Amino acid sequence: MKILVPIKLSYDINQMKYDERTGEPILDAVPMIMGDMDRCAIEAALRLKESLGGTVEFLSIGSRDTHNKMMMDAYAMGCDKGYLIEVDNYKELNAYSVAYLISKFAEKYGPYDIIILGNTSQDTHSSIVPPAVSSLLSYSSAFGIDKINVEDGEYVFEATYEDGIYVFKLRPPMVISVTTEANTPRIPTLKDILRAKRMKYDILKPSDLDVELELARVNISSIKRFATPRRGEMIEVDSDEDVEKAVDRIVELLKEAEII
Amino acid sequence: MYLEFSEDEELFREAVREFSKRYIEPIWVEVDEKGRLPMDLIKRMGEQGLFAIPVSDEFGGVGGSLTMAAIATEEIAYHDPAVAIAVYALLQNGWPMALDQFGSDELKSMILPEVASGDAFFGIASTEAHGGSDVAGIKTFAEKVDGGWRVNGEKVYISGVREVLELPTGGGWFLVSKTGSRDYGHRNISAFALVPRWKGDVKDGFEPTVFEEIGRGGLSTGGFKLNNFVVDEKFLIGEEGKGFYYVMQGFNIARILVSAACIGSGRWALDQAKEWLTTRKLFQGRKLSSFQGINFKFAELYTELEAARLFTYRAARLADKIYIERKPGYKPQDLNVPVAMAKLKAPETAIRIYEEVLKWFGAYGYTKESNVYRGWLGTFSYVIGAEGGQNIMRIIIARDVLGKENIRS
Ligand SMILES: Cc1cc2nc3c(=O)[nH]c(=O)nc-3n(C[C@H](O)[C@H](O)[C@H](O)COP(=O)(O)OP(=O)(O)OC[C@H]3O[C@@H](n4cnc5c(N)ncnc54)[C@H](O)[C@@H]3O)c2cc1C
Repeated sequence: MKILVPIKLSYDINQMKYDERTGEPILDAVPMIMGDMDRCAIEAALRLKESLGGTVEFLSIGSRDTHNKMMMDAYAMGCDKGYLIEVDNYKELNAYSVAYLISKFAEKYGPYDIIILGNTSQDTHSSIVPPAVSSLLSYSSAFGIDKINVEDGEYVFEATYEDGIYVFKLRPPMVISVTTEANTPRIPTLKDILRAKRMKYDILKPSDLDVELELARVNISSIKRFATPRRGEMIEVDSDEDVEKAVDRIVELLKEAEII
Repeated sequence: MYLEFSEDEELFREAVREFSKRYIEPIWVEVDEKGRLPMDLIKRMGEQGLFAIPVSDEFGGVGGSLTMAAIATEEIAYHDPAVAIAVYALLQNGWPMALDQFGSDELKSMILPEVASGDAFFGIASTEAHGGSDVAGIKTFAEKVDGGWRVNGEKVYISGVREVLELPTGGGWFLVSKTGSRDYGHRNISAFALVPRWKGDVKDGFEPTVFEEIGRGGLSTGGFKLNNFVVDEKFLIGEEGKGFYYVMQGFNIARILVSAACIGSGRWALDQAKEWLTTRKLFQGRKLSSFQGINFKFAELYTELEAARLFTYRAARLADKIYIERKPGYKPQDLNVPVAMAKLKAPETAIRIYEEVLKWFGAYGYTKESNVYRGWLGTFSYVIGAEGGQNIMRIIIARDVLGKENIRS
């Protein structure tokens, strides 16, 4: 079985920095990492490989300078082969362009039995790439998967949506996207990391996939932090009587704020 | 030196951080309170490759560097500021590395893979009751007998006594003992791998005790008597009479990791303080951090900690050049001053941080609930003397900088 995991270098949203005056993020100062869901996608792929055999390949779009560490990370987790499509202004690519590049790559380097992606990226959260890839490739698909089972050669996926749990039974070739509920990703050991350091990944250009990139750029006109001003009130409670009073006060506050 | 880590070192730090968050942070208080290191945690740490990092992979080690071991120690200590788990890890990197440097292949292939997997412990047994600082004055004596040595003596304040008795395989220590003559001095000291328990019962002539300590709960400290304890000749480390040189180099290696543990724990304490100082408000809503009496001190401690960090990693990089990369022109003695400076600076900085942070926390800091005191007591073991007292660091620096002949009284 041949599995492909496309991974994205995302802003570490836990370490966002903003210009206090304008509310704009200072993106140059934010570290970039592999997103948590992408990590779960690799883990899901590795587990399938461990139980069914095959290879796990990974693909990213970006530049060697910024992506090298993440590529090493994917190898350290246990992937077999990595590819980087080199695009200088990769941060300006929109979700559809990304999906297009991935599908073109899969056509040329595939066929893949399964393409596993993170359900959303850590930073832009569009969730567009996985469905776009599946429709471009005409693969069967299931998204937001948090449970994976293989029963008698049939793949059974579970996803939790607002109205309940959905069960999908699919056959390859397929595209799925996973959430962080799907698994707990393995932590690479130092030996894995040292081995990964020696592994090379192939570097391609969009033109190698017959893609004309000029069409695919998008300019983000503005990003801002929308912070809701917070109001805090400390209510001290020492006795049962205080509890009564505290409850009254909380109700009063909630009414004032028009929440109830 | 500009402190910069390579991509693989950064990846490794992230991996250790994730491991520590998952498996160490949730239990560090319980480990300190109960005074026991869970055996399954040790095993897991072994599987994760957190022991024997600077040991060659030929002998079951990870084949990494001392810098990597320092990174691991710092991160573990951040998530276990009481440092028992961090010290366990640092001992299982420092002393296996010393054995890897000086031991025979036979000895290394027996001991090191078991240490790397977390099934055995290998620490240091140097201190004796007359005073640990005076290694040349040790009294333990190994008498040459047919096919080996018969050892008599007593070691005290030795880390890992209970662990050697409880781990699946057992283990032992890098032992220093007089050989040939009992005279005072360092030329008649030899080093042995003392392995009182290995895949079975405790060997005859080994009489252990475990002490109760005020901090660093989890990793045991104890002592043992060696009563006609027989050591096979294959357990001699390196050459007879060279033990003092080997153990001093082992201390240099271990002290780098001790410093890393102290900066990890100190960083945790400063992070706790940061949260507290920027949220606690008094005197009509002023944040504690807004008082210069406090934020000046914070700034100073933050600076001191960064200085200690630089000392530590500079020494680690130098040790790697000497022992791992074996670069021509670098000698083991070159490490003496850089290491002594790191070991002088890091534990004292950690203690100073804890003493301030405890005060900043007010009465809450004095309660057990705050847990800050655990880091204080844990790191205090390193100003007291584990892996060498602070005055010994001063002696080393003064001796090497001013010259041996100029510091004699
Ligand atoms: C938690 C813990 C774990 C330990 N684990 C181990 C272990 O695993 N293996 C091991 O071998 N040892 C271990 N030790 C012992 C440690 O190495 C010794 O504590 C240390 O070497 C100091 O020896 P001492 O305690 O006998 O104090 P002493 O040597 O008696 O020194 C007492 C004080 O005098 C100072 N001093 C000594 N000589 C001089 C001098 N010439 N000039 C000025 N001041 C001086 C010292 O700095 C110290 O403050 C451990 C200690 C602790 C606290």
